[in-house]
This record gives sequence, structure tokens and C-alpha cells, in this order.
Amino acid sequence: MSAPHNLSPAEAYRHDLKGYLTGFVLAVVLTVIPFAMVAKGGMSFNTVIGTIVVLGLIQVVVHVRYFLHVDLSPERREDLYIILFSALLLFIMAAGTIWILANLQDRMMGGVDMGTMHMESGSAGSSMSGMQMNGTTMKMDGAAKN
Amino acid sequence: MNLTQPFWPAVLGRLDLDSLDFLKVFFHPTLNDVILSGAAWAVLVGGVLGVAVLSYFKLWGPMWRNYLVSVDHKRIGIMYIVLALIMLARGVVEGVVMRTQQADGLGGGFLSANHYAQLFSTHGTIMIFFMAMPFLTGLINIVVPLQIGARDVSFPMLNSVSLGLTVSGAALIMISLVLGEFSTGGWTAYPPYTEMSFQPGVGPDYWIWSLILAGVGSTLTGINFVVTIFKERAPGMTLMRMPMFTWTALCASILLIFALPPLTVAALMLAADRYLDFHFFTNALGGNMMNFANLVWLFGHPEVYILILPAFGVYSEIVATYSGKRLYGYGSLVVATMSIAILSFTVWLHHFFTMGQDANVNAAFGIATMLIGIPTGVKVYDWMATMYRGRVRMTVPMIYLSSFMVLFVLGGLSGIILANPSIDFQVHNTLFLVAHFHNMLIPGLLFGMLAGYTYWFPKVFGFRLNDRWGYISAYSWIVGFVLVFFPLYVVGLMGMTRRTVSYVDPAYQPWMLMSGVGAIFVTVALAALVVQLYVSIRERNYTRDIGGDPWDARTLEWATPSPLPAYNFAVIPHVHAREAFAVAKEAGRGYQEPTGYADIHLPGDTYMGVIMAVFGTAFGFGMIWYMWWLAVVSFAVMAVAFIVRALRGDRAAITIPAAQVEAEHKAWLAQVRTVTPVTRERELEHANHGVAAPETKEVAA
Amino acid sequence: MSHAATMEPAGQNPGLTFGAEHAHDHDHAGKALSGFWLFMMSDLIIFGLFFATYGTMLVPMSFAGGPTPKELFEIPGAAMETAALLTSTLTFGFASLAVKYNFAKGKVLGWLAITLALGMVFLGLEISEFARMFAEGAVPQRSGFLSSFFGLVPLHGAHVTAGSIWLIMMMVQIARGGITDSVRSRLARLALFWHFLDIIWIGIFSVVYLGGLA
Ligand code: HEM
Ligand SMILES: [Cu+2]
Repeated sequence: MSAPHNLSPAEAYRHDLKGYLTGFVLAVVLTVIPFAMVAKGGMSFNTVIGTIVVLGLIQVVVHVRYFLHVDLSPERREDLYIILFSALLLFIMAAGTIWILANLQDRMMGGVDMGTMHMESGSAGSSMSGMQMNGTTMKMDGAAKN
Repeated sequence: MNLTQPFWPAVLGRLDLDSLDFLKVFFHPTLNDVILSGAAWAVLVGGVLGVAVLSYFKLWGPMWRNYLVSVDHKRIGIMYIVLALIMLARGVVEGVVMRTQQADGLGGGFLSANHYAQLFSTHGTIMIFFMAMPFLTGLINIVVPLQIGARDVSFPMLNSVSLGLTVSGAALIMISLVLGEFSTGGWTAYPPYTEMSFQPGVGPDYWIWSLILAGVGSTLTGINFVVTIFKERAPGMTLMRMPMFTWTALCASILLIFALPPLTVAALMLAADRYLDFHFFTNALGGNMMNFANLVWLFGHPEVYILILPAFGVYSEIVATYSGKRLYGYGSLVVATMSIAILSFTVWLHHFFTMGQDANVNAAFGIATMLIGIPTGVKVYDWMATMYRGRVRMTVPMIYLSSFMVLFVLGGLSGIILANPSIDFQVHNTLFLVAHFHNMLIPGLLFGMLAGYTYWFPKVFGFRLNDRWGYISAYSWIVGFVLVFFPLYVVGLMGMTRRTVSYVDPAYQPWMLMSGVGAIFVTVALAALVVQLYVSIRERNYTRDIGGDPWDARTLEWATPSPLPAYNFAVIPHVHAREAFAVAKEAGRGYQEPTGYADIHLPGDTYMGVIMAVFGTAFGFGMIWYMWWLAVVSFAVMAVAFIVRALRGDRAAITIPAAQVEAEHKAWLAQVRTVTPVTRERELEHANHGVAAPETKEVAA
Repeated sequence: MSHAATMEPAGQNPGLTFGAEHAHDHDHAGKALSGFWLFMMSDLIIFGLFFATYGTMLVPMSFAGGPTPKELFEIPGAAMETAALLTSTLTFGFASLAVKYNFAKGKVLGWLAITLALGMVFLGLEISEFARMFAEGAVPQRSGFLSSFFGLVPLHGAHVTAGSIWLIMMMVQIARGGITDSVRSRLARLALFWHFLDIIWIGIFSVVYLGGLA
């Protein structure tokens, strides 16, 4: 918690308290907007999702700044680096996972509603692995019927 | 308790008479089962023998006091390496059995397919998680605090906990030899084959729990060493003055923190599938087994750099020491290490190029993979430049280093070949790949660890290892490796798949025989290591390292007595240069009298490590065999132990009075003055008692 | 390149010196806090991968003919859970301030108790939500999608539970021994943990609930 050094204890306390309250108010606003949007409905899917993502990311920054007290000050530089480094790795892993699996999903399960299929593992095993080896787009329904 | 349920199944879970492997030989005396039961008997007899030896020599007390409850980073490091060597022995024997099987494998052989599958699964799992990881963790434990001028790690108790968890994982794998079967799904345990529908037995559960336990231990180790390296450095030991081994330890520790979570996640999800009928990776009801491959390699690729970076660190240390020269290109080595660490998170898909994603995805990861060759190449040039015009001595570690430089580059080249997706489609899942990764792991990791073991042994135990048996072992490893694995490149290109017990194409046979001959050399190499240890202990009085600096080495850890006192440094040194000890020796100030002494505080013993080892094993065992009571009780004990310790605080620290430190240090300095310094020609002779005679100064590179 | 030694006046400092040792302060709290940061970041990756897995399961194949997010989730429940957790983050902040400015230990305990109560409310709401889902047949065994939901959200719940147990331990420790240095250091770590769990929750309500209902 980074109150400027020249403050009396009472002033420093008020300064810190204000920090928490600011963070809380911002967090509430950033939470209420997307909740309201979804509850109200009527907006395009992309707008809603875009808003959720952007406000969510902003709220993460708010929490880090006002509750974890990590800011751009030199004393917190170390923690900031840890967070940024972790965020980078998290992004690589999570985005990579989604990219890869979505791509596979597209090429392999594309257009087929697998939801209606309740297969026993054994038989599905052979058809699925056959499909994986193939590496080209293949419609699942053909393979699953045998 | 539910009275309608029979008593024994509730207590013993699914453990029954059929699970006792050591009885199998009496029921089906085939060669396959003789080997199966033989392994179980080996574990049992080995265990009994161990207990007997400890009791006979009355070693239980000392072992408990000096090792099991100790938080001394050196002791913990030793225990890690002992574990690694035991597991190395088992892993190598398994490898040799597999090579023998395949040498005999044209149309049959003596092992059942199921047994062969267990062998490669345990071999791979053990070599990676219970040989390589403990080995490098042990070396890091021993060396890093010394190299940065610290008395211990930041969290000594946690260090003991990490060791305990690692041991419990290894114990489970050893138990799998005696009770029930291990997984047949390979070290990566891909579902759906490891799901309940294909392997309802205990096998994959052994894999899951031993890896989760050891994985948590390794994550904690990573945290411990990152904090240690950032917070415990001696005054003046800036980041850019840290020895290379410490740098690689830092990067490997960071990788441990961030790369183990995907493995933990994958194993937990697989456990949820198997125990609770979830559908993360099943065929039915919307599971997606491709995600498992994705998660496992998100861990797996950084893991290979966790394995190789510390070995690079060892090589960097020994190349400077045994060339009598400052390490060439320190800055570039640091940058290369860090780049490798980051890049290692961007390439995982190259392990499943053939899974079906489109060519653009494959291309992106293929290119990223090839990029890693650049920093690695930089390192090789730096090591060569360090040797150039140096005072090079071909000691055992240098034999490992020079064979590494040749063989690792070859292995790297085969890696670049594999990084090309279109080529990978041809050789994926063949023995070409097996040849490639052994080509990286044996000359890279294993040789590096053995070089480090030879190099730092005198520092830890106070006497040198016998070099004649060291050479025999090193040359046997090299010859054995080449003979075993180069033929696999050939049969791999011919299309022989990995993980197959036998084959029908006679064209493979000559190569398989050659590989089998190599296995003989590998066995000799392992045996030579054992003999070396025995001979070295027997002759320890001739090879005492009194001065603490038998190799005329350059970094801080050699400015201490051997074996080390518990407090490492009588006085924490102030560091004014990179390779500070070498600089001090050049100035004729190798052995200095401190200007004053102070009391030293060391952390007290802890039971936490033992508790983790025992109850971690029991917890895993209960989960594997469905003995729910055991799992619950063990977990509760571990949790309560943590809470109690948290509430009661650390056990009393040990204080060593300044006067005692002063007396011990002065006695050592006096003893050093009686030793005749030796030049490098006589490095390996009995005359070397660890004080180096000044020699020609470094040659400008 | 300059030899590191040449940066010091030559001759005076031969690489190494052994001055008299001062009993330097070891700053245990600082180290523990750094270690805890790293632990949390490792945990963050675990959560991230559960999130990513959840993301890959939002496809018809993984619904496997079972319920979809739109059929399962409702705004009021998620909103109430969010409110409880977010408020508890603020009240923990007040507890931290009470410690920092040396308020009476009763104040500290009071804020911690309120935080704990809010945590319990959160867990209660979450459990009742799971119970409702179970009653509708939305069990984790039903589909890959539900497996990944019940991997991710209860994982967060388990963390909140662990945090609550830790909170209780801290309250016991404070009630018995007052605000000692070790309490300060531990409370700082627990605060970090609690605020961190709230950040994870931002991800959950955004991705799982709002994303699912959008
Ligand atoms: C020292 C002599 C060694 C020998 C003779 C040996 C032999 C073998 C053999 C025969 C296989 C099975 C190949 C197949 O049929 O697919 C194998 C697999 C493997 N080895 Fe080794 N190996 C040795 C050392 C090592 C070392 C040092 C490591 C790692 C540090 C290692 C890691 C592995 C792994 C990860 C696998 C793959 C297991 C699987 O397929 O799941 N090996 N080894
Ligand atoms: Cu890789």
C-alpha cells in the first residue's frame, strides 16, 4: 500500500481507505454494466461479448491496482514483472490451446452435431483414432456409423 | 461403516491375491513371468537388504538425524541424487531388457506385449520424473546456495517437503513392481487408451498419482529456488556476476513454476475421468482426447528444457574450470538461456504435428521450433571458444563434455529434421524419434548430470572419485549410446514404429542386434559407476580434498572447506567480480582470514519431509487401490501437519557461536597451509589434496 | 568486454573479501510474500488451463445432446455470488488497513469475521446452484461440457474453502496472541490470496455465466 511518505498517519489512513473504495466502486461499475447488458438482452452477440471481454480485462487491472496494490511505482516493479510474465505465458498457453483445438474441431467435427451420438467408448475409439491419423477433413457421421 | 459391505474389500480396496506380482512366477513359469516376478523379488529383496544393512551397521539413528529430518540443502541434495541413482539403475535395466527383447524380437521374443508396454511406460516415466528431475534438483540444491554465497535456501522446510513428495512418487512406482501393474500407456499416458474403458486396472492410476505428487514437489522446488536466487545472494553478487550454473538453475526453476501446472491439470482431469466418470478425454459424451495431448505437451516441451538447462549450466562450469580460462561469452550465454526458456513455451505442438490441425498451424510451430536452434548453437560456440587455447585437461567431466558437444549437435540436427512437419509425418511415432530424444537426453542430460556428479563430488564428500573407473564408465556410456541409438535412426527411417514388442520385417534385425550389443556397453557403464563409487570410498584417504579446490576452479563454492560445514561459509563473502574465486586466487588471495566472525543461525530440523514421504505414499496408494479410508486419513494427516506447524511456528533454530566458527575456520586454514599445492599436471594424482598451485594466467581469448 | 573485476579499484578487492559479518536482517516476511506470489502465478496457470479447456468444450460435440449454457445458467444467482465475493474483497481490505494502522484487534477480527461470513454466503450460493443443476440432471457425468464446468467452477470454490479455513486459523491466532509480526506477514499473504480469488471470479462470471448467456 503506497501512501505518500509525507502524510500523517490519519491522512495516510484516509488515503489508503480511499484507494480501496475507489477500487470497489470501479469494480462494481465494471461488473454491473455487463450483467445489465446480458440481463436486458437485445444487443448483437458480438457487441455483448466484446463488452464483457473488454470490461473484464479492465476490471482485472482495477483489482490488481487497487487491491493487490501493484502499480507502476519502482517498489512494486518486481511484482509487476512477475504478473506481466505470467500473463504472457498464460496467454500463450490458453490462446494456443483454443486456437489449436478450435482448428481441429473445424477440420474434424465440422458441421456434424456430435451431440446426438451416444457411443460406447470401444467402437468410437477406433473411428476417432482413424480420423486423427488421417489429418484431412472427414465427416464424422460416416465413420461413426460402422 | 456400511455393514452390508464385506469387510475386506472395504479395507483392501481392489488389492487381492492376483495383484501380488512376486507370486506370478509360481503360477505361470514362463520367461516373461519370471522377469516380471524377478523384478518384484528384486524390489523386495533389495528393500529387506537395505533394512538389514542399516540395522547391522546401526545406521538408523545417524540416517534419521543427519538426513531424513535435516533441512541442510546439501543433505537434501544428496538424498535427491541417491534417489536419482537408484532410479537410474532401474531405468537402465529396463532399457536393456527392452533392447534385448527387440534384438530377439523378429517374430516374437521372450516378453509379452503387455509386459513390454509396462516396461517402456515405467522406463520413460522413471527416467524423466524420478531420475532426471531428482538428479538436477539435487545438483541445484547442493550447488546454487554455495555459488551465490548463501547459508541455505529461502524456505528450508519447504525444501524438505519437496523431497518428501518426490520420494513418495518414486515409492509408488517402485511399489507398482510388486503390487499390480503399471500403466501400459507410455510416459505420456494418452487417453482414451488410459481411460477406464481400456485400462480399468490400477496401471494409469499409478501414473497419475506418482506424477501429481512429484509434480507438486517440483513446483515447490521451483518457487524455492527462484526466491533463493533473487533474495539470498551474498553482497556484491549481482545477477550478472552469478555463475552460469546458477543462471540455468534460475531459468529451470522458473520453468518448473510455469510448466508443471499443465501436467497437474492433465493428470487431475484424467483422474476425474477415471474416478468420477467425467468426460474430459473420453470418446463418448463429448470428451476431447486431443486436449490431453495438448496439455501434456504444454508441460512436456518446457520440461525438456528443465532437463537440459541445468546440464548446460554444468557444462559451462566445467568447461571454464578444466580449460583454466574465464567462461567465454558469459553475456551471450545468459541471453541464450533466457531465450530458450521463453521459446520453450511456444513450440509444444511439434509433438503432435500429425493430429490433424491445418498446415498453417503446423508451420507456425515448426518455425518456432527451429528458432530454438539459434540460442543453442550460440552456447556450443561459447563452450568451444572457452576451450580454445585454454589449459585443457581431459578429465572425466571433460570426456562427457566433448562427447556431448559432438553428439548433442547430431541430435539437434535430427531435431531440426523433425521440426519440419512434412518430414515429421513420415517418421512420427517411429524409432527415429526414440533415437532423437535419447540423443538429446543421454549426451545432454545424463552426461551433464554425471559430469556434475564427478565434478562436485569432492566438494560434498571431501574426497575425489576414482578417475580410472570414471573413464571406463564415460567411454562405455558413449560407445553404448552410439551403438544402441544410431541404429534406431536407420530402422526408424525404414518405418519401424516405436513401442512395439516385436516385428516381422527381417530387414530390421541386424540393426536390432547392433542395438542389443550396445546395451551390453550401457550395462557396463552403469556397473562401472557402482564400482567407481565403491573404489573411491575405499581409497578415500588417498584422494582427500583438504584445500577444497581440487580442480583449480573459479566460482564461490570452491572457496570453502570440503566436506562443507553445515553453515557453508564461516563468513559470508563479499563478491567483487565474476568468477570471484579465480580472481582472488590470481591476486594470491585464495585463502583469506576473515576480519571478524559472528554467530550463525541455521534453521532447525523438521519432520515435514518424512511426513510427506510416508503419508504422500500412503495417500497415493489408497487412491490407486481404492482404499478410501487410507487416502482420507493420509490426506488429513498431511493437512493437519501443515496447520499444526503453521500455528506452532518453526522449530527452534540452531545457533553456532562465533567462537566455534572461528576455531573451526582457523583450524581448516592451518591445515590448508600444510598441504603442498599441485599444478594441473598432477591434478588426478594422489598428491592433489585440493590446493591449487598458481599457474600461467589466462590467455586472452 | 570489461572484466567485472576492473569495475572495482584494482588490487583493493581481489575478487572476494571476507569482512566482519553483521547480523543482517533476513526479511523473512518479504521472502515469504515473494514465494507466495510465485505460487499464485503457478495457480493462475492451472486456472487458465481449466478456462481454456472450458472454452474448447463450448461446442455441440461436447454438449453431447445435454444441457447448454443458455439452458443452465441464470443471471440472479451469478450476480449474487459476485456481489458476495466482491464485497468480501473490500472487507478484507478494511481488515488489512486495520492491521496496518494498528487498530484494536477487535476491529481486525470484526472485519475478518465479516469477510468470512461473505465467503460462506458465496459458498452457500454456489452449492445451492450446483444442487439445482444436479436436480435438473446437469451432472458432470452428463457431457464433456458439464465436466469442464464442474472442473473449473468448483476448483475456484475449493480455493475459497481453503481460504476460509485459513481465515479461521488466522482469527484463532489473532484472538490468542494478538497482532504479531508473524500474523502480519501471514495476513498479507492471505489477503493476496483472497483478492486473487476474486480476480479469478471475474474470469468465471465473464466467461462462464455472462459469456454463456450472451
Ligand atoms: C541408458 C540407456 C537407455 C536405454 C538402453 C534406453 C532404452 C529405451 C527403449 C528400448 C525405449 C523404448 C523404445 C520403444 O520401443 O518405443 C525407451 C523409451 C524411452 N526412454 Fe530410454 N533408454 C535409455 C536411457 C534413457 C534416458 C537417460 C532417458 C531420459 C532421461 C530415457 C527416456 C525415455 C523415454 C521418455 C522413453 C519413451 C517411453 C515411452 O514410449 O513412453 N531413456 N528407452
Ligand atoms: Cu518438444
